Parts: sequence; C-alpha cells; structure tokens
Amino acid sequence: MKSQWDIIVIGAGHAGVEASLACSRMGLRVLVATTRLSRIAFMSCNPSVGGLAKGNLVKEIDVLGGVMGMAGDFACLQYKHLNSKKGPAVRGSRVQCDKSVYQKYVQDQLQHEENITLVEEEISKLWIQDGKCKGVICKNDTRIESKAVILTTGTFMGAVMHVGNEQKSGGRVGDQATHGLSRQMSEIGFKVTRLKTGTPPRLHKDSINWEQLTPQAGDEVYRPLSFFSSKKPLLKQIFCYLTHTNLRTHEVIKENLRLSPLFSGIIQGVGPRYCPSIEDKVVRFSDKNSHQVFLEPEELGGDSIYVQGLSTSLPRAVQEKFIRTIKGLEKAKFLQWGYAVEYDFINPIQLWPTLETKILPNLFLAGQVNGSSGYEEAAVQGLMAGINASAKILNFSECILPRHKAYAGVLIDDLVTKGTKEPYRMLTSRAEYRLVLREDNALERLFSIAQKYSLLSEEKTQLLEKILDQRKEYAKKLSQTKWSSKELENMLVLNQKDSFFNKEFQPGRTWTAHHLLKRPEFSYQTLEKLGVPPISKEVAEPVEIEIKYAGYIQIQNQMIKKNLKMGQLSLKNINYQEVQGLSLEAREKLQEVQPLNLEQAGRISGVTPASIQALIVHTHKVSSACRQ
Amino acid sequence: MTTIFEGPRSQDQDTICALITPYGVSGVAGIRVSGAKSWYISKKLCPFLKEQPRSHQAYFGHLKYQEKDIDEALVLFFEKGRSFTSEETVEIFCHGSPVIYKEVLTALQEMGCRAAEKGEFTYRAFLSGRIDLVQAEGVLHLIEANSVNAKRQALRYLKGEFSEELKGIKNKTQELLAHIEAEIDFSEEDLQLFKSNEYLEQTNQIQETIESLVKNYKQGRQVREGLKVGIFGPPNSGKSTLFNQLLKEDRAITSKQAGTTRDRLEGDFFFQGNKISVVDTAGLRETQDLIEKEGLKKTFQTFQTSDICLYVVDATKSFSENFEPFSKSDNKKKFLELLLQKKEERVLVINKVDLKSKEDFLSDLERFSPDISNQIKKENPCFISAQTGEGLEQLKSFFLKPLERGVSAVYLPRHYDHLTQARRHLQKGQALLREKTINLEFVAFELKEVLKNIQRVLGEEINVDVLDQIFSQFCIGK
Repeated sequence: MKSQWDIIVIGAGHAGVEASLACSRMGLRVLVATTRLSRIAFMSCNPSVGGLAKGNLVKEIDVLGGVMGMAGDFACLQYKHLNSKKGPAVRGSRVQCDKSVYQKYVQDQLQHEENITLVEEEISKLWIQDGKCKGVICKNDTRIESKAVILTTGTFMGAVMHVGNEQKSGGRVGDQATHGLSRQMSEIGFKVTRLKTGTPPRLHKDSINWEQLTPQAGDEVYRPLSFFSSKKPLLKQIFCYLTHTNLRTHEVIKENLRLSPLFSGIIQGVGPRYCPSIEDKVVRFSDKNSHQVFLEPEELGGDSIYVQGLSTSLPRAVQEKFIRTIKGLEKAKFLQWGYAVEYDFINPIQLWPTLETKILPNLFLAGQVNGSSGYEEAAVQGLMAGINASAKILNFSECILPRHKAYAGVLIDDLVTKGTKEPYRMLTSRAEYRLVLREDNALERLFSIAQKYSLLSEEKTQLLEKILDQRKEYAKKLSQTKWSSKELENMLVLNQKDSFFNKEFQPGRTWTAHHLLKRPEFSYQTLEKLGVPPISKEVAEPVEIEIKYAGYIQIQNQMIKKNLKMGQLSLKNINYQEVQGLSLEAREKLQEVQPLNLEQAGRISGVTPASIQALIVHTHKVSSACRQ
Repeated sequence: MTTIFEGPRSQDQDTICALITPYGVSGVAGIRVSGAKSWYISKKLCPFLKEQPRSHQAYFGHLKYQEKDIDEALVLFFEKGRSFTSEETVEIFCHGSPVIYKEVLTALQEMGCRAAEKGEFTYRAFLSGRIDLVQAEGVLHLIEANSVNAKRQALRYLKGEFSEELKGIKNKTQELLAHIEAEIDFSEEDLQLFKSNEYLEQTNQIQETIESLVKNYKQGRQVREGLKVGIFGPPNSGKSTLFNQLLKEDRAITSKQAGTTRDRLEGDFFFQGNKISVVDTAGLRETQDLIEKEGLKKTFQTFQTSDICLYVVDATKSFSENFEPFSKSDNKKKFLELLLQKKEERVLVINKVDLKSKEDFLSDLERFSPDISNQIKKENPCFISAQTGEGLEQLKSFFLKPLERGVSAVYLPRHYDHLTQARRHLQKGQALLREKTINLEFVAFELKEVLKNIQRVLGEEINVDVLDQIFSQFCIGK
C-alpha cells in the first residue's frame, strides 16, 4: 500500500501538538497517534505557561508559527511580567491558565488543520527497514508507513507512578504507560535510562480557608504572549494565594522520609534539581524553616486547586498530615494525591541538532522523552523536530537555530551536545548571549526563519511585517525628533532636569528623542508628553531597550561575531581515531556527539582546550593534504 | 583561524627524547625520554636492567647499542603520573662528551623516539594537567632567572602560589556569579541571597585581592629583568670611573679630556640578589660635534628608561659647571624637567670627595647661596669617590630603593594585562551595583569577563597564539 502519510507523530502533548502543526503548515500530511484523544495538549502539572526563560521560548514558538502562546493568552486567568525590576534581558512573561480552556483551544486548532488526522491508537513499535525508520507498528500489529516519525511520548514510556511504597504502571493519573517502544529502541542500540519527575496534590477549593491566605494579584499591564492574540485578557482575571510551610510541616516530613520512594531507594531515576519535591527541599535546605506555597486554580469556577511548591511522593496519610499543618490548609481535602513518575528517556546526545536520531534515520525525538522538563521546553522541541522532519522530506536545508538567535537554539544545542543527567529546564543563565535573546526582540530574531520554512499564514505574516516596519519607523522618528536645550528646559520635569542639566547641558545644543531615551529618567511614555506621537508598547518597548542598553548589546554582538569566526570550522566526516593528541575521554565524547563544527565541539564536556587545538591542527593537515 | 602551531602538539602521542643539560663538553650529560614507550625503548640500551626498574631509583650499568658499548651511565625511571611530564619517563646520565650523548640520542631515535621540540616536556606537563599555564611560565623563568630574587619570584609561580591566589579570585567570582544567576533565574522562589550591598562587599574583596597582585607590578618586572641605573652628568665629573668601579672592571675609557664617552655603555653586576644594569652616558654639554650630538640623543633616551638616575657632579667644580651644563635654554629646560619628573628615582651623586671633602663642599655651597645649599641638602646627596671607592656601598643601597615599596607577585605583561582587564570589568560591575535600579544581568556580564580574564592567566581559557608564543620561548630539553 502506498503511504498515505508523510509524517507520523506519536503522542499529542505539547511537543506532539507543535510538531504536527509545523508539519501541516509546511504542507505535509500528518497522522497523530495518541493513546487518549481527550488528553491532547493536557497540562499534566502546573496550570501556567511561560516564566523566566520559558516565556522567551513561548515568544519564539509564536514567531515560528506555533500555538502555545495563543492558547496561553486564550486561557489566561492571570498575567505576570517576572523580573520586571531586574534588567531587560531577563524578564519573562507568565500566564496562569484555565487548563480546560487551554486544551480546548489547541484541540480546535488541530481539528481545523486539513493535513492532520488524529487517531486513538497505541504505537507499540517502530517499523524499521534497511536501518531506517519506515513507519510505526500499532498494538494490533497494523503497520503504518511514513517518510518520517516524530516520537513525543513524554513521560509515558515504561512509566511507573509512585505514592509512598505503592507503585503503579502509568504515565499520569488515569493514563496507561506504554511499553514496547523503549524496549525496542534499547534493542536496536539506543541508550535508554530513567528519569523522575513529580507533581503536587490537588485540593478541593471549598476545603481551604482562603481568608487566612495572602492574595497575589496579576500585573496591571497586560502583555499577551502572542502577537496574534487579543490585547486584553478574554477570561475573568483571578488571584492566586500564598501560604508557607512551617517547622511542624518539616517535622512531619522528616519523620516519614523513609516512606518516601525518593529516599528509600525505590526510585532510581534522577529528578529535576530546579523543581524539587518538598521532601527534597526539607532535606537539602535543612536550615530553612519555611517554604513558599502558592495555591493556583486549575479552572475558572472549578474545584481543583494546584498546590505549587509541594510536589511529593510521600504516602497518602503523610501527605494529608503535613499539608494540614499549613496555614489555611488545616482542613484540606484531596482531589488528587501528589505522586512521582519514573520514566524511560533517551539521552539526547544520541540526536543530531535537527533532533533526528543518529542511529535510526527518519526518526525524530522531541520533548520530555529527550530529558527536558516543562511544557515550553517540550513544545519548542516539537516545533523544531516538525520543521526539520518536514525539511528533510521536502529537501530543504536543516533548520538549526544558533545559540545567539534563540533560546530554542540554546536548549537543543545543550541537549544534543552535553546530554543531560536530570530533567533539563530552560534558564536564562544557560544562554551565554542572553543580552540579545530577549522576549521583546523574538520577532526580529526569528521572522526570517519563519518565512524561509513557510511557518506562518499569509495573515500572520502581514501582521508581523507591519509590526517590524512600525518598529523601524519609530526608531527613525526618535532620531529625527529634535529639541533645543532651551525648549527642553521649559518642557522637562524636575527629576529629568536635575541629572540632565547638571551634567550635559549645553545651551546651543539640540537633542533628539533618541538621546533622551538613553537616559534612565526617560521612557517612551515620557517622550509622549514631549510631543512624540503615542505608540503601542508592542512597537515601542523593543526600540526603547535597544537604545537604552545599546552599549552592552553592541559588546555582545561583537562577541558573537568573533566566536562565530572561530567556531565555524566544520568537523563533518572526521575520523577521531586519526586525530593525534586527543585524550581517550575527548576522543570518545567527540565520537559520540559528532559535533558539526569547532564551536559545538568546544562545549562538549571532557573536550579540553588542548583537544580543540589538536582538532585545529588535524583539520589543517587534512585540508593542506587535499590541496596538494 | 590562520595561525596554526606546527609544533609538538600535533604529535604528542610520540615518545620524545632530548638532552636536558647544555650542549658542549661537561662532566655529565643528561638525556630525558618521555612518553608511553620510554621504558620499552630505553631498556634496549640497558642490558644491565633485567626487569622494569622501580620508580625514582637510580641504576648504574653499561649502555649498549647493537652489541657495542656506549658508556657507563646512571639510569633513573619515573612511572606514569610521577614524573615532570606526568608521562612515563626515563633519564640517562652519561659522561658529558658530545660524542657520547649524541650516540645515545641517535640510538634512541633509531629505536622509535622523536627528538623533542622546544618546551615540549613542559608542554606535556601542562597538557596532562599537572601544572597550569602560570606554573609552566614559572619553569621557563626559573631557567632564565638572572638573579637570586628573580629565581625566587619564578619559584613562586612554579610552586603554584600565584596560581592559588588566582584560583581564590576565580572561586570567589564564581560564587558571587552563582548568587546573581540564582537571583535572576529563581526570583520567584524565596531564596536567601545576598543583598545588593553584600554583592558590593564581595566585589570589594575580589578587587582588593586583584589590587594586591598588580600593585607594584613595575617592581615585579624590575626584579625579573633587573634594575637599570643610568649615570648622567656634566663632562668629566667621573661617570665612567664610577661605571668601571661599579662593575669592578675597566670597561669604559676614562681620561681627563671632556667628552671622552660618546656612546652609551652597559654592564651588569649583582647586588643583594638583584641584577643591576648600569649605563654610562656621554656628558651633558652643548656641542657641535655630530657624533657627540648623536650620543646626547641616546643619553636622553636612556634617561627615560632608567629605573634609577644618578646625576654625578664634581665636588671640586663650581655650581654652574655642575648644574648648568647647557647654555641654550631649550635643552636646559628639557633636562631639568626630566630630572624633576624622576621623583624618587633620582640620586644626586657628589663625586671626588678624595679631592674635596664633603664638609668643604657644603660650606662653599652655603657661602655661594644659602638657598641652593638648602635645596641640595634636601636632595639627600650621596658623597663618593669613584676613584677610591669611598661611599660606593652607600650609593648602591639607593639602587634598590624602587623595590622598597614592595614587589608584586605579577611580573609578566601577559598576566598584568589580564588582571588589569579583570579589574576594569570588576569596577564596571561595581558601578552598576551602585545604581538605583540594578540591572543584575549586566553585573553578571561584567563578572563573567572578570572570570574569563583570570582563567586566561591560568591557561584555562586558551588563545592558540598565546600558547604558541609561550612554549616557543623554551629551549630544547625543557
């Protein structure tokens, strides 16, 4: 039978969704296989999208045509701009979401795509022929052929859930684990190992004494995650509530540590260091008498309250006991217990930067199965895997985002170059060029890529082009609008004048709006009072940041340029056995990762500066030998 | 990347050998063999060793190659991980005739050794991680040390004392950076982190350490390179006699005729463990003589580069003869200005006290002008007789005056440049921390630059050209 599908996506979580949408937009026929249709784009853990560094990923997904930002805006119950008091490059947008609205929005999007077909089917094996992935084999042995397969199974392969000493096969409460796939992958040579993650309990809204808790409001200023969303939230905006653990809580936990599968040794997988369970926190930060606990509704008007900060896998009775020591939760009723999940993951060092596996061509991997953690991290991998799988089929060039272009590039490069030993969470500190990787300039960074791979509809393209033009125009206007010192003296308010006229006042001089904006006392809003035409923050903010922090941004850009020049030496097709002067460790690591260029090689752990030197000498020798 | 080092690094899996004592005839010559096969190869020369010798033990016997006797020799074996290079090493000590050691080296090479290149043993020690770049440089400077104090300085590098201080700065910066990054990335979690004044305090501590390392860098260099003492003054004041007296040899021609010295002359001697380079210059006077004019130009140049300037006058001569050597005003002005700029680095030397005593000189001066007399006394002049050697020991004690302020651990321009760069970035970071709204990511940016510069000194962040340059300065056999 001639294949009906170009691409099969296994799994329909946040990675699977973005992968299939990207493939569909690039014109390919996609079959999405999920074990439960009702769980498409389900938010398994916290009810929020974005955050520090993660918000940046969402904006990148948005410019590259993904759905996460729009869905987050659509379901937004509260908006926050995190780190707004810290520097411009480390701010992050986060929205609390109504989980069911979020899910519904994404499901609608999928159903409206003509190229996408959804089936409820468990895939038990990959169909392998001539050393390549040829499609999938369903549980009932049906074979489905395709040109590429994208595996986005999240935490479901070989998954075991733990609550206390109880263990149950399953990837999420109410959902079955899948077997077969990871076993087969291990048989054909993939290194499959275990990771662990966890989720906190959900409490019944009516069992919480809300009056004792501190309400946490969202920001007054709303900035949608997506360029294509309404400029105002659609749902009613809500509060979250803050409470704290106390010494008594910690005592209960300490007394019962031996009952936690994390400490009794039942769980072998490594958990996320940056999202630890409460038992982890109590042990690791034993000098802290209290930890924050946020109470976040999972749905508008729903009963379920997510208890952020109390991820746990202690036995039920212990969970109940320690939660009830917390202010406001004395009578808490549980809708769902906290639990840990242990699952199979494929160390991503086995992937090319396109997310295609090295040993099985045409198989792409994305999301938690690669050892990442978080919706956003999963989604952006799905998107990039979708683009690259399609590019391969369509004979387009590979889409590898450099580290100075996108957090998505940093994320994928880190995963495939260094691998990971724990669930990988995106952090701004992982990006060495973060001063130029900001939420506000995601559009400038990635629009050309979106166009190159046709990831945007006509309508979206026009909108984004318009914003780009407006930004350019606004920047131009700022350097053209001028005042004399005299005029300014009359217009400025006191605090602006102070710093201004003391330092640089020269009577005969003229000042452009651009000059003024460089100073800390001025913002684009204050310029409006001086007569610069008002403009939306979407247009003005990036322009303002580029002007205000031009010094640092320029230095960073120079560094990027310099490092690019050094690092572009290609290392494709090198036989590392022939390179003299490499340590055994460096040789093994280089062979395993097979870096594309010198820059990537330099980031592999165990590859020292001396090894880099040896590589330079080797490639030089080879190329001079070729010349002769 | 254009510069490619075609040196030892391209082939560092080879076993290498080289003479580690100077070329030429000597009592004993040493040959080092280093690399995985050093015992495998060397044992063929040592039929007296039946099995693998014990590490760090000397064995005596006759070297033989292809059935022929070479020489009797002492052989030392160093196991892997316990040698200078950290590789398996064999050292052979034979009689120091070029015929003999060449025979040994040829034999080793015929059996599979490669002749070591410049600095290759030290480079391997660096590659193996046994020493860092600063220590490697210490090795180089230890070999080159030209005075006891320069040796002591290099030894500090080699022993890793300086590296330890750098690592201290590095760790402190990293810790601070970790706090800042945590505050940025986990601002939502109530971590207990530094407050902004604590950040500042931490940077101040780092700043102090860097400061203590680079302070008196000039003196650090002076210890390594030696101090330069220039002798200046009007003609016939006895400069060349003083020069000869200091060097204890007749280097400069002396005569009663003014203008005998036309070119500058340089010579070294050692004083309290320091190398002192003395420069004799042409007398200062107006002249039409072309050669003498050229000499005068050089005198001015020497003046600029001297660490200590001796202004030598003749006690028997008049004030104006001694202190106003130039009648033309521009040269006079220029010279005086230069002399006054050399604040603590100038010494007024009143020579020929064997002909006119210190007391007579001072009372004559007092009579001539009380003002000028006072001024001269303030200069704290040194009274000597270059002819008899009187007062010379006291004069020499002035030479080490620049070092009294203390000597920095840092003496290499490379280290100094990186450390001052680090200091510059640290200061920028501090300025950011003092602002009203603190952009922590910029502070982090500056601290990362601090870190990078410290790591560059240690050789943890490597620039290919720098390595190339450092190791090519070594002689073969080190």
